[in-house]
Amino acid sequence: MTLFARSRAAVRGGAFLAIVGLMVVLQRAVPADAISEYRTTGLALGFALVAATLVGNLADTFRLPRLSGYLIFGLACGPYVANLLTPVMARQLQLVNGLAITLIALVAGLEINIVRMRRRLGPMMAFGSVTILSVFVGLLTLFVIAWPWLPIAPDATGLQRLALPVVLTTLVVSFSPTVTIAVMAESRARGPLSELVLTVVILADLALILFFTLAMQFARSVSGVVPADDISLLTRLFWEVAGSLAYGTLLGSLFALYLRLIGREITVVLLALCVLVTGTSALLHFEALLVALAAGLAVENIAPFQGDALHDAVERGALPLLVVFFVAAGANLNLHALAELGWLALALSGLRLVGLWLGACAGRRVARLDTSETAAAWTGLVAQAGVTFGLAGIVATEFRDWGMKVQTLVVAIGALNVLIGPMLFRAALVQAGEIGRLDSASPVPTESSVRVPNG
Amino acid sequence: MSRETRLLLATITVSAVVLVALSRFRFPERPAIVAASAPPLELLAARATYDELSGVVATVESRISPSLVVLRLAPNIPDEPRTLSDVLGSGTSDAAVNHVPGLRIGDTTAIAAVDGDARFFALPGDPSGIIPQRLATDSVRRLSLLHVSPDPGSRLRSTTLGELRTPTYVVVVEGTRAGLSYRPLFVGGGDRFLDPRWESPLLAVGAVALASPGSLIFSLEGQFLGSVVVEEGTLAIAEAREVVATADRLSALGSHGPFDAGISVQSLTTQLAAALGVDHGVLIAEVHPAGPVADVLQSLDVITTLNGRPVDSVDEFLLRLARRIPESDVTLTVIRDGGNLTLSLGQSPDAEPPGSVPLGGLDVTAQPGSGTRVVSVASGSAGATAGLRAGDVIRRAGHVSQPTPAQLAAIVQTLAPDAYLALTIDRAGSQRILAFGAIGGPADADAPR
Amino acid sequence: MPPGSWRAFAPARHAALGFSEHAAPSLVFVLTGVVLGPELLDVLSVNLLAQFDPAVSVTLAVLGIFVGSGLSAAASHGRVTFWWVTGATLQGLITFGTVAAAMYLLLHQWGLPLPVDPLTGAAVLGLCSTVSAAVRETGSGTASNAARIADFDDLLLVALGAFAVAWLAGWSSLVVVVGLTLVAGVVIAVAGAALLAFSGTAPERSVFVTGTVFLLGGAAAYTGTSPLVSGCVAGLLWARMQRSVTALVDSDLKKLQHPLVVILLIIAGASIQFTYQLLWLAAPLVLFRLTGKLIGSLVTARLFGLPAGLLATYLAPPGLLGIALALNIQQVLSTGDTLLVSAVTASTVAAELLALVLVIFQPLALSSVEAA
Repeated sequence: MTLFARSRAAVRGGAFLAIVGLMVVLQRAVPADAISEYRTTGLALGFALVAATLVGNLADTFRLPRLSGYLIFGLACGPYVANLLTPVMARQLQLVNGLAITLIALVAGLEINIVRMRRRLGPMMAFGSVTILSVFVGLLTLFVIAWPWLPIAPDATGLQRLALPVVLTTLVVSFSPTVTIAVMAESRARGPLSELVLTVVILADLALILFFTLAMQFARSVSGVVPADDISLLTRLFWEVAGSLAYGTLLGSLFALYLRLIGREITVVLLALCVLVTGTSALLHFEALLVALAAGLAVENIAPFQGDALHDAVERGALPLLVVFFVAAGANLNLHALAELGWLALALSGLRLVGLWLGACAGRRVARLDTSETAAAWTGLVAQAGVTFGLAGIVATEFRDWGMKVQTLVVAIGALNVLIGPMLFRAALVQAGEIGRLDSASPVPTESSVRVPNG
Repeated sequence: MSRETRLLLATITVSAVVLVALSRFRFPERPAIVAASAPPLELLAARATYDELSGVVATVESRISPSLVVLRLAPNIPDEPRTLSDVLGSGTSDAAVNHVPGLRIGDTTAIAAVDGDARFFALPGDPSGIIPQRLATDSVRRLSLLHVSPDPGSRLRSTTLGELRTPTYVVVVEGTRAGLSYRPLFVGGGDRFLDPRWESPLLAVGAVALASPGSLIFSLEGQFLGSVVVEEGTLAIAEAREVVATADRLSALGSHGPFDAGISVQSLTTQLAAALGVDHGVLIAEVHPAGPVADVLQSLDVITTLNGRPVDSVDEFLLRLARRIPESDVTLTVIRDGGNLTLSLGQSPDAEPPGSVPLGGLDVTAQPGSGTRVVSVASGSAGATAGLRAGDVIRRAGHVSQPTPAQLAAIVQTLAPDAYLALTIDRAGSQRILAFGAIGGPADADAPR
Repeated sequence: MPPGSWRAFAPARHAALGFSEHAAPSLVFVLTGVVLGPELLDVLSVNLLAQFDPAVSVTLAVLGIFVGSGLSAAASHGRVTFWWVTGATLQGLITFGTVAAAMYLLLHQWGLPLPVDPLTGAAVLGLCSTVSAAVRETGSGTASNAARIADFDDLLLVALGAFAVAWLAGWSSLVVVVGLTLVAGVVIAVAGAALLAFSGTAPERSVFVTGTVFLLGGAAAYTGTSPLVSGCVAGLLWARMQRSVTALVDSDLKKLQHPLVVILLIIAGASIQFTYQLLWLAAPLVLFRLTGKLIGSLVTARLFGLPAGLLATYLAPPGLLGIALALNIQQVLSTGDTLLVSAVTASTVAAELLALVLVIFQPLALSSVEAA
């Protein structure tokens, strides 16, 4: 280790300890539950930004993704462990979630250059569909058979015996586009593996909306709750998906126009766009993720030059948001659920991994994408985050009796997956040699496929 | 003089003139109601979005629901004989039914804001069908310790106590026909006030719409914060510590009626104060010769402090005195004949309410041709529990028709401890049947179990 | 009117109308806030405004950093700086005394319903009136000396404001609390600077700067003290450190400053509650502030040998630090009554307009500039 490196390590360690010490002292002086939550937000944000970035750097030195560092930091400082980030603070940190998800989805959209990916788009969609379907069917079969031994509703009979596993499977199978895209963005990765995984998670997100709505309908009709009118359900689904994409395309096109004609104060306008997307999506019952994705897609494909410059600006400016997002995710991980279900969650998580790997194998066969890059594509599907937890929450609120137990199980499995997923995916990206390729990639889309360098 | 100096002098002059002119005014009295739009930067404003709060409430519900139970009760009016027209006319027979949440204290005991004269029903959907039983009542605080069905599946036996610090969100648990309802409630900066029924100050909540009396308050972390009570027409929260302390005391000592000292008191008017040479306090008008304080207090005594706290009003004094626990001392500071005395009401057993009679607390007289007429019914007695009222005519006691007072007394005396006697009474022209329990037996609802 | 005079004061004129990015563009953004706020369109509802509370604390920290770094930069001039600071503090104290005394008398007589007692209210209003807008005058000479005095009256507000905020937040031992705030500011600043010196990439650097600033503002908000103080200490320290660190901090903070100040002014505008009390308070406040500034400028000018008219022209525009302090005090008061903030904001806007008028009709001052 050079002198510089040693000094840097020492300084960073010292700064980290100083800031942690400051947090401890402040919380001793003023207990966090005694004051209004607004007074804790600034401190929580500052603490998360500085200390978590340091932990992320540390993770990087151990060849782990930085966001795993942020997650572990959030976990360690969160309410369940050190309680430096009290429950109130952990809730406050989630305020950036909407904005962060929008930004991440925008980045994802900017990655997808349809011209560049045109040839491979078909096989990638096929791969994605087969993988998702096979994982779903596999896990569903497993859950239906093993239902009496699962601590959810062991004495369910008849159609309930099918409906409840369907809901559980949908939640367990769900992937997290945000975590996967964040890993790719953070590693500045580009290449066949990244593109494949990106396409699959986006496809999976669309599929998830569909599956989840249908599964909930099924469960509602089986539980005797009056289900919504089928026609209106389809209309709503259509509105949610197609409407989000259309709205996002519109916004993206306008933004691309702005970039082309004016092109000033990009950061501010971008921020305003994200705020607009987050705010209006909720009002119009759209999916903010899909809207931002479509916007990024529009910009990248309508104005590719501006798209790359924007991509750069976004990635450089998005780091604070990502840090806080993942710290919040870590701090809000429900360790009680994990402690309660410990071995079961571990086993199910492992089974999910196996299922993903097998499903990906099948997908590769069917889509004829059997290359070295795609062999590791399943690693990008391991992570689960906010979307899964949010949907589990909806299930718990709607079906009091078994919904809570499903939520606990899903949250426990998700906690494990969000920790190991990024590490696995990043290792795969390193293996495929796609780390840092984004910086060296040319702005003009070429038809030729990118060669994978050795090592 | 330079231009600046002239400008400055001019400005100072103008300022002085304005200052003098403005200081003549008085700001017009306006009602302290802020304009319709809520003030910004309101740190106390409702911030949480519905989704987040509903998630938190759901989590809290899952955490605390094993320690809660819902009670279905109605005022203890004896079953009135009803005809078809009564049912058709009134609409529902459950008009007076109330639902109150109870907090489990032990395996089979719970505490709830229930008065001494309510009776319980089983819940409609409850498979066990067990009817809660009242074990003991603190009639001053209107809390009762109840025996409820045990819950085999629940793991939580005690809920952690928390302190209510405003402003904050809390979870209100109320009883409904379908069970317990949980909802979030924002409690803003609250003023606390002392009430004679409680040791520590109560927190004023506000309008009745916010929470119904008897509902329980929990924090967003699932800690028990208190119970909603109505004192002097104001809705307030009694601290959790107090509620649990009452429960503990009830289970240890059992219930006891409010301590009736057998005195009547008057407030001090200026003239009376001048006449007696005191400046504040409560004046004793009369002391019952057979009462518990007959040898301690006298008429014309002015009581200035009770247990160290100054006494301001008649009602407050009576309430605070009523809270006396049988084994505890009460120290009074009394002004008698111009001199200060410190008196203590020692460990005297609860005095019998004056005017008790051996016939289950009834004063009866013969009504030739009909039976026996009830003149008066002592509260808390067996007669009151049975539902007898002054003016009722007992036409039949068991198999004896038109019983005389002596016959009635004889039948009552020979009743077995847990037996009941059916009385046919005439009340306001209509006939009804009441159940009269043996004196000192289990029908005496206030006896500790 | 001497040639060139109009141009000499163009920055001040532009500032009032919100076109300059250096001076306080208070008018336009405050009005935007009023329009968007609960009084009119209610786009910025009460709940939304409460979410921006942390932004207020962070903005205060950033403003404090600039005050501190400005002081540190000027300290290189040695003894002269000491005189500037003394002059600025003197005129600030005179203004404070004038405004506080007059407002106390009026509040006492009026019986106006205030969220605090009349003495505290008068002191707060006086404190928020002491500061003048920073003027970008470089070089030496009479004009720059006068400009420095206008610049350095921020320090009085920062120092006294720290005690005021701590007291209103309910702390009993003020000196201890302010001292601890200073210590926390030092710790955060040193840690931040150390991290910056060894930071790798530009994104990481901006995260550290953002995080440090949030810590400065957040720690002060958490303990109920003034972020201006912790920011000032941090600014002082950072300006004293390696040039590279200072440059890094400066460039990143300048990017943050503009949007944060805009947000602050919009929040201040949205906080204005249009009531009769506001009118009763704001109008005399403008007058008494002007009087105080005139007296202060005369006294200070006499003592330091400056042209009084010039000094008065520089001291007249109020700047936005007063609004910032008022928002900070509103935070710790935790009441829904924003009368103090409304009064300070409204009077600041009015004073800016008044200063503009004075600038236009003050050719006297210009001749001193030409002569100097």
